[in-house]
Amino acid sequence: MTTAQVSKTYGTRNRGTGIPSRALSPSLIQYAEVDISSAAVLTLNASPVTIVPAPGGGRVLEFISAVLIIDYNSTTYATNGVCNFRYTDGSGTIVSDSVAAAAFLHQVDDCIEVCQALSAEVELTANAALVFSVDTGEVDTGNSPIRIKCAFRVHETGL
Amino acid sequence: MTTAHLAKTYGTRNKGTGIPSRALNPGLIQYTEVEISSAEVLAAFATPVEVIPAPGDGRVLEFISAVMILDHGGTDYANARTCHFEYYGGGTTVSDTVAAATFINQADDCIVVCQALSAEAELSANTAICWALDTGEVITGNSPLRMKVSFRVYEAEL
Repeated sequence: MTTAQVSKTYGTRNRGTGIPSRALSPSLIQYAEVDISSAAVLTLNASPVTIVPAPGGGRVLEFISAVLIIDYNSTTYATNGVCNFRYTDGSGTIVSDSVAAAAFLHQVDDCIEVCQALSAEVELTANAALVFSVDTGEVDTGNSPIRIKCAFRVHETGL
Repeated sequence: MTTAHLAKTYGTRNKGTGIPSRALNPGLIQYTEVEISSAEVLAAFATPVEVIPAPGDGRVLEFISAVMILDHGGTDYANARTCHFEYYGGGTTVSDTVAAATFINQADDCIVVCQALSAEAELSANTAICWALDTGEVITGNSPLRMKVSFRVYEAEL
């Protein structure tokens, strides 16, 4: 596959052409995109942002991976900044690796980071949303929006 | 995307709407669901349970991940046994090993995700993948399991 072929397939926007994930069985990989404003970034510890909503009774979300994009503005985020994906809220089970502050939120220019699912087994939470949060406390002073591109699956649990 | 949107997309059954994996090129991610009875669980050390059949000559299966569901039936499985996915016939392990306390010895309904080995592993051509217990059988439990397994099929051309 060449760069030209990739460009043709993907169009001008990743979601612009081809069969979207919403047309596939949800047991296959699904895909969600969420833009997070800098104001929301500054409160991610107290108010994690929902990336994938709760799937409904008898279903569970499986986090697969996420690409995190910081669209650097002019002021770097400071303090705290370790981030991850969890169920429900800031107290939910962590389902992803934790991303170091220096690797993402504290970057001083545009940055694209991939965040993987936990490699260890983890107990999943039925009918719970996936949220993006910051550990320990809030970041401060920054003004860059971020974009989250999240891959996940939905499973029927029969429970 | 809202919960209502998800519910509409997913329909009343996870596999009920949308293009199923069997309609995709098998080089893309495939998906299978397997129910395992408590009788099969009680014998899963001596007789691992097939979750993906052998793909045929010249092909190989790649295990990606599995969501394992324990539908607690009232009696816990005893004996602490870890579990994993492996190629048929006591072959190469292809997944992480899941601790007994995390899954098979749980005292209530439980949903656990099991990932592929993060280390490299030699794959076995045209061989089924099974779910197996380590070191011995569990005893006394009566909970069925449900496995939701993601995998790929490759033409090995060997």
